[in-house]
Amino acid sequence: MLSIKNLHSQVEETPILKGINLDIKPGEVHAIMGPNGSGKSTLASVLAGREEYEVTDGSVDFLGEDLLELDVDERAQNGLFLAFQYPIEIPGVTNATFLRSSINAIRKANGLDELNGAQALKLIREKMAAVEMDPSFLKRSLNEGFSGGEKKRNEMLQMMLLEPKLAILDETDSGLDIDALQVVAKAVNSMRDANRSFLVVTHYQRLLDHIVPDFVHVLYQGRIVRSGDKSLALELEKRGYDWIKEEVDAQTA
Amino acid sequence: METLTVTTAAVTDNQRWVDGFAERPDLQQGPAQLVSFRQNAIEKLAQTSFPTRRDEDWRYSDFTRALNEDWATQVAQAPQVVRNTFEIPDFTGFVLVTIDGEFQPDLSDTIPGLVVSTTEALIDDATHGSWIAERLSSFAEDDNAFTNLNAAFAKTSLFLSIGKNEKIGKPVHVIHLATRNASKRFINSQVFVRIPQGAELTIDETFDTLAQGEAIFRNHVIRGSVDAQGRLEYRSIQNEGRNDYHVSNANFDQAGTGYIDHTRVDLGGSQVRNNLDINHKGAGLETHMAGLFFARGRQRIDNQTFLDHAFPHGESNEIYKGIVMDNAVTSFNGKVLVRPDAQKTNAYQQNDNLIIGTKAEANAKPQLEIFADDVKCSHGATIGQMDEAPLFYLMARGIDRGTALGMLQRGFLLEVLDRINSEAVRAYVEHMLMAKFNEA
Ligand SMILES: Nc1ncnc2c1ncn2[C@@H]1O[C@H](COP(=O)(O)OP(=O)(O)O)[C@@H](O)[C@H]1O
Ligand SMILES: [Mg+2]
Repeated sequence: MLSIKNLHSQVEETPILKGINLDIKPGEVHAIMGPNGSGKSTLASVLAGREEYEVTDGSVDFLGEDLLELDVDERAQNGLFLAFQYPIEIPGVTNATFLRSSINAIRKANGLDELNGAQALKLIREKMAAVEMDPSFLKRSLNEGFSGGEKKRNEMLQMMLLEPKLAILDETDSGLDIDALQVVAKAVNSMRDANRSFLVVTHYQRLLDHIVPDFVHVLYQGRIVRSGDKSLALELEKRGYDWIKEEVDAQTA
Repeated sequence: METLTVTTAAVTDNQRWVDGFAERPDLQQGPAQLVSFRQNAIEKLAQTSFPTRRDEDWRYSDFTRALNEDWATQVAQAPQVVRNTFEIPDFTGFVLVTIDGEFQPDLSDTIPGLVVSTTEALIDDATHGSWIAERLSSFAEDDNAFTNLNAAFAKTSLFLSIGKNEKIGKPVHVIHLATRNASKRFINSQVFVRIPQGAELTIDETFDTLAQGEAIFRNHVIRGSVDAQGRLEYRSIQNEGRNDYHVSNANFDQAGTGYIDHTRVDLGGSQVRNNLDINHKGAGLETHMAGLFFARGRQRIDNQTFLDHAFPHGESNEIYKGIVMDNAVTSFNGKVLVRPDAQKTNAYQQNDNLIIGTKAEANAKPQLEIFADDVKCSHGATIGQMDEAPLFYLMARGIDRGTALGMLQRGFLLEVLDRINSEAVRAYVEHMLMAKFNEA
């Protein structure tokens, strides 16, 4: 599904990702953990195609294509989805218009008929119920004035509507109360299947109680410094990140 | 030794208009009063210069070069007109048509309850004659060469009025057509609107061109009055050709307790200048002014508004929003004057501009001059670039760059689109906007 090799990326001459290697096979759930500032969001942004992150070395293969050659919209059309850590507020564009445009853009690119207004609305309402969002959010401007939790539910709604092949969740759990966390977990779990993969970026083990990962990786200073199964997350929960930092710092010193 | 260099700025050759006027015997015919207004206007024009960049209020609009081109002023032989080509889809109202400034009864609806006539027919009329004469003389004597020119050359101009305390319940769409032909054509069009006490009228004005050919220069004037408790909703939508010129002078007298809601849309034209003046003539009135403009390519669109709060308890609300891209230039200059007597005035003014690309230019000059102390006034202007973050967000959901840009641009203008109280007109404007967003 996704194969990242020796990925290096920088922002304005400052190297942030310093050689990431990661393989995700269909159906797998990978968690990426790591202290603040370690490069988790940068990795997610590079995969989604954010231009300000310059790729200086390495390669990314997504479903047999060179991902780094594709435009942002093409990546989404090919089945890559990023749930943003900080979803953008867009005044003047209603949530309904946005959702429908995005569903149809992806359908069209994949050779499917576009949905008309009524069909789209029916589908959107159905999925809104699943993420426990009130239909009144359809008429509002996209994310404008939404609370943190509402923005994250809206991201989950989009994920459910767009049915990506690979969904990257960038700290979708941060700042959520337990109910909202359950909604996120339910959305992900309802979509897990043999052909869909997830890359779940999180700071805390909490989410991984609900979304059980196949692999856990620790990102620190732009590198994956340790990988393991779900027990690694539990260990991090108990011991924090300092012991990993110390080990890595000792090696690099 | 000192050398003195005298540089002369390019000026407009007014003599050609005077000569052109002499070659138009048709302008010397008709009701004597009208002929004498035209005569006064051309004499005034002979002594009045067209504004240039050196005039503070015309810094972004210099028509000197355009005016010095070879323009024909005669009314052309109009081709067969299929009216519905120019109608607003799903518009449920009445339609009136002018061609090259002249009212066309044959192409227009009969509107029960509305006085639809011409200056020629009514200049000696007992009810409306003096009202028309007052307006014609005032703008023939303006220090504005464009209105002098208009007053000299305009002929069978549309006049609209309605009975006291009456309304017709449906909007009136005035289609202004201009005929293109082998020579460049200059059109002086006029509209007069008289809203007496307690009467209500909604006018949607659009500008379009007939046939193929050379550029059009439209010099349009609309003058009106709204009496006590009268209500005027007036939208003006301009989407002329990209080689055409458009100057509009709108001027309304608004009596106390009167209501005016105006929206101006500019999408077309090579160079466009709008002057909007609203003169408050009494206490407790309400004025709304909205504008939407989108300039690209090498277009220049310049809006100048003037609102004169001269009496207490007035409310005004002005919002102009524009997008400028490519090599286009826009400007907004909004003056709101709150005179010493205009206590308890609420005046709000906002102008927001969105620049796309590195070569486009937007200019904003909000001017609020307050001479009364017990008022609530605010004004602001913003000039911003299109952000990358929202564009990235939309594209990350599979939406292509062009569509995403269009959605964001529409979103930026939404506040003004929302002010259009007619679904048909709004859809019409949105349709033209989308077409323009999608231009390569
Ligand atoms: N746009 C940017 N400009 C400058 N520095 C950035 C930018 N984005 C991220 N960084 C820096 O890169 C590092 C990694 O950031 P980020 O990927 O957001 O970390 P994480 O998501 O793991 O907390 C941090 O030091 C951050 O300050
Ligand atoms: Mg982050």
